[in-house]
Amino acid sequence: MSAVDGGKTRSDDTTAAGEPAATNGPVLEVQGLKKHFPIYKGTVIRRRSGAVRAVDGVSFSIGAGETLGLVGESGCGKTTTGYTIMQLEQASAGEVIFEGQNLTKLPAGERRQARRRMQMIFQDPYGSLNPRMTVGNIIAEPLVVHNIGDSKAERRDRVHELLQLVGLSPGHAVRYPHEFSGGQRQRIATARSLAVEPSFIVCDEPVSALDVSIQAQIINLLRELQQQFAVAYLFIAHDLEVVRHISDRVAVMYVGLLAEVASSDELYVRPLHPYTRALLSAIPFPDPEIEATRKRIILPGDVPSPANPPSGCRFHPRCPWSKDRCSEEVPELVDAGGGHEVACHFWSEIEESGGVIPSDSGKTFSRRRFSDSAVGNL
Amino acid sequence: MSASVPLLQVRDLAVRFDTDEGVVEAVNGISYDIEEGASLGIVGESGCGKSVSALAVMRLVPSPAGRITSGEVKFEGRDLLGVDSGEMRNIRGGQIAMIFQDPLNSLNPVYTIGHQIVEALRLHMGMSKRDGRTRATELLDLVGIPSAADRLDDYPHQFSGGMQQRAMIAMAISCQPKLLIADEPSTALDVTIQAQVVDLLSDLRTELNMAVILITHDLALVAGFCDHVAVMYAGHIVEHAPVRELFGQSMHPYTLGLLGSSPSLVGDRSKPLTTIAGAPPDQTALPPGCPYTVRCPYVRDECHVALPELTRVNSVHSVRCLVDTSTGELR
Repeated sequence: MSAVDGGKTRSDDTTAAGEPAATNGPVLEVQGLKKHFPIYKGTVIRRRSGAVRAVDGVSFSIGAGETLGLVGESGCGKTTTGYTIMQLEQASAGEVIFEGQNLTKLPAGERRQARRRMQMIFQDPYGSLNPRMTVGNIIAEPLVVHNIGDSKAERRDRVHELLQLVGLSPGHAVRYPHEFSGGQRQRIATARSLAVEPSFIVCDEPVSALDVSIQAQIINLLRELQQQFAVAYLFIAHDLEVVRHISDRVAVMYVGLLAEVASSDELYVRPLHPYTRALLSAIPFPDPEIEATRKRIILPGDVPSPANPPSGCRFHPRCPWSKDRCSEEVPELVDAGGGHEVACHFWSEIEESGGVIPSDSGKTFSRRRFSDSAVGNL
Repeated sequence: MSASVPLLQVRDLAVRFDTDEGVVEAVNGISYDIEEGASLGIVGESGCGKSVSALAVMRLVPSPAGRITSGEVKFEGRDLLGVDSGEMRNIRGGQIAMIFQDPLNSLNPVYTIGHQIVEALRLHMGMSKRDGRTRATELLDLVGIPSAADRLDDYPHQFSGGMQQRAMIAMAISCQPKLLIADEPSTALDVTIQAQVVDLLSDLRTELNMAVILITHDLALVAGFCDHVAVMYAGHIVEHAPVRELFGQSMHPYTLGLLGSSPSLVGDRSKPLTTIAGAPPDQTALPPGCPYTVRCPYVRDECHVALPELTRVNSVHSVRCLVDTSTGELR
C-alpha cells in the first residue's frame, strides 16, 4: 500500500505504476469464459430444467492502456461478461487472468486483493451511488475498504484531487448524489473507480443514460484519463458510434458468443460477419443526403433467447446468407488477416460477393403492404 | 379541406408546470405547421420540452400540475384547445394517434393485445366485435407480426419489445389517423429492431398518407425519416428548417454543438469530441436573454438582454440567434 503518499505528484506515480504492465503482455486475459444461470421448475420439488447461457465461451485479451469495445444488443451477454470478469458473478467455466493471476481460482481474500486494481463504472448513475452518503465518502470508500491512506486528512486530500481530476470541485465532496445531474454523477462514479489506481476498468454502458452533449463530455473525460493513467478499459455499449470513437479494438457479441473482433478502424470499414454488417447498416446516419441512398439490411425477427439458443451458428435464423451448414456447425472465431477475427463459415464468400444479399434468401424483413390488404380499402 | 390550410397549426403554445421548486416553463411559445402527409422531427435533449409540446397538442398534459397557458392548436382549421373533452376523445386515437417510448407501459398488461386493438376500433369506428377482430388480425399482419391471428390473444408480456412497439403502431393506425405523433418510438429498442420499426413507420406514412411528428433525441434518426426538423432548447424552437438544409447549413450554435458532439461511424476518431459546456438551464429560473448563453461559444453581450426572435434567414429556414455562426458577427 505504499502507493499512497498523498500530495499532487500522484498522477506521476500512477503512470509509473501502470507502465510495467505494458511490458508484461495483456492486463486481462479471458479464456473460454462461460456463465450459465440455472432455470428451475416446480415449487415443491425444484429441479433444474435448463440454463440461460448468458455467456457461452468467450475469449479475448486486453493490453495495458488499451480499450476493447464490447458491443451487442440487449440480452447478448455483454454485461454478464463484464460482471463475470469483475468476479461479481462466479464464472461457470473458463478463466479470467488479471495481471498474471487467475481470479477464478484464487481464494476469496486474495481475490479481493487482486481485484483492487480492477474497477467498474456502471450504466445507471442514479442507482450506483448510495444516496445516503456524501460524494466525499462515496469516493473515499474504496480507499477505506482497501485500507489505503494513513489518516482521514490524507484521504480527504485524495478525494479532493480526484474530484478535480474528473472536472468537479473539492467543494462538491460534502454534497449528496441527488444534488448532481446524470453527467456529474457519472463523473463521481469515475472518480470513485480511479481512487484505488486501477490498471483496468470495466465501463458498463457508462454514457447510454446521458444526453448527447453530456455523453461527449464523459467520453472525452474517459479518454483523457486513459492517456494520463494508462488504464485499460473494457467498454461495454450498444451504441456503435460511441464504441468506435473510444475503442482501439471492438468485439461484437451475439447471444453469448463473439461474432467478430477487429481493430476499430478495420471493423467499421470492413465488417465481415453478417451480423456486424446488419448492425452497421441499421444505424441511422446524420446526413439526409447519405440516408436517402443508403441500403439497409433489415433483419427479420428478434434476438433469440439465450435459454434456448439456435443450433449451429446462433445468427443463422436471421442471417440472409445462411446455408445448411450454418444450422449444424458452430463456427469458430478464425483469423481473417491482421488480427481481424470472425466467426462465420462463409465470411470470405460473402466478402467476395460484395456483401450483396442473395435474392432468394427470404431472410429480410417483409410484410404485406396496405394496398394489398382489405384494410386499405376501408 | 382546402390545400392552403395546413393539417396542424401550432401557434405560440406555452405549457407551465407548478412544482415545489417553482413554475417550470416547459414549453415557451412554440409555433409550427404540418402539411398533410408531411413529417416533422422535433429534436432536443431531455427536459427541452419536446414531449410536453406533443402532449399539449393531444391535450394530455398531466393536470393539475401542468397547464397550457397560451397558444392555439388548430387541426384541420379547428382549435383543439377549445373543443370539449368528449369531442377531444374522439379526435384522440381517431384522427390524431400517438405512440410512446416505452411500449410495455403504454399497453394494458391485463388485457390481450387483440382486446386492446378491438376496443379502439369499436369506440372510434363503431365496429362489431367480430369485424374488429378480423380487422385487428389484418393490422397485426400489416405491421409485420408473424402468425397474427394466433398472437391476437397474447398478453403484452408475451411479446418482445419490438413486437410490443409494432402492436402499439397497429393500434395507432387502426383508425387511419391523419396525424401520428411518435414520441421516441425506437429509443428503447435495439439497433436492428429500431431499424425494423423506423422502416415500418416510414412505409406506413407513405401508404396511408399520414403526417408524422417524430420526437427524438437522435439527430441521425431524423435525417433519414423527416422532411422538416425543429430543434428545441429550454422550451423554445431554436432552429427550424427542411431536413437537408438543417444538416447542410446548420446555423444555431446549439444545433452545431449537437452535431459536433455525436460520435460518428466515419471520420477521424483520434480527436476529442466537440462538447457543449455545462448542462441545460434550470427551467424554473430562465435568464432574461437567450437560454443558451451559458453554454454558447458565440455568446455576446447583446445575447443577455432579451430572447432573440425566431428569424427567417430564407424562405424555409428560421433560427433564433443574434449571431451569424458562419462569421461570428451579429446578423
